[in-house]
Amino acid sequence: MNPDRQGHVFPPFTVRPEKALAEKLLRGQGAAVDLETVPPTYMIFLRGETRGANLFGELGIDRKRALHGGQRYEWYGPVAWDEELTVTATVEKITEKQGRSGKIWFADVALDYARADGTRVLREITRLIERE
Amino acid sequence: MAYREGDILFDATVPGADRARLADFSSGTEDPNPIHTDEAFAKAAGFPTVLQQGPMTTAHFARLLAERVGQERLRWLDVTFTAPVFPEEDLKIEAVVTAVEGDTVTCALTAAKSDGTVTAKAEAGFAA
Repeated sequence: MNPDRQGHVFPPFTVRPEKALAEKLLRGQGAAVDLETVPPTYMIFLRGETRGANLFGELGIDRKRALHGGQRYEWYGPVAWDEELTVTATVEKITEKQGRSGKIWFADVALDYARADGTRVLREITRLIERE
Repeated sequence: MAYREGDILFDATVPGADRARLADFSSGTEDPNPIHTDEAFAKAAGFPTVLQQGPMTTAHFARLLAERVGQERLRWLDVTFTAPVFPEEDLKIEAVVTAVEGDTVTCALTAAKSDGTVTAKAEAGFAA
């Protein structure tokens, strides 16, 4: 992992909820496909990978040595199906620890989702881990 | 509805996901990581088989909470993944109220395999 990427802010990208993707997300969970509302965790950092916010690439994380440590969602308002959101991803913190079998790096990346008028509707924090 | 500390919000068993479901979830989240779909890649990464996505557990937590209290009431959910989940492993998912302060209810959530291994812990807050 590249510790010097702490503080990096990715160029903002846009995302619009798609029912076809939500259906797959729900089917993957084994849940009923109810598309009345956008599922609460529809927005996810992974959608940035093809939209200019490739966390793994920017942070230099090898997927074979990567683990997902956790996620945090903060919901501030509803998201509608036809609503385009602007997403800003920031590498908030990178820490290094010595594990039993080598170094371990931890990266917290925050993604802020905002409406066209700038109102924040969601904050997502994802915690990525890489083993040496 | 009035909530009290100790209230069980839900106690559900989510049937294990097969590989087709893992592939659907990867597609639905635009997740390109082959560790969820490619057996050889997962083994090269040191796992016995492909891994279920951590965000699937997050999605279970959020969905079950939304079904129980209403999606519009959800305020935050903070999840820590503590052990890998493999295909076909059922998860027992529980949520218990830990505090009621003002108009905010806080609860603790866990996901565990049938052998008791806890795979994720979380805390969530929602409007009472």
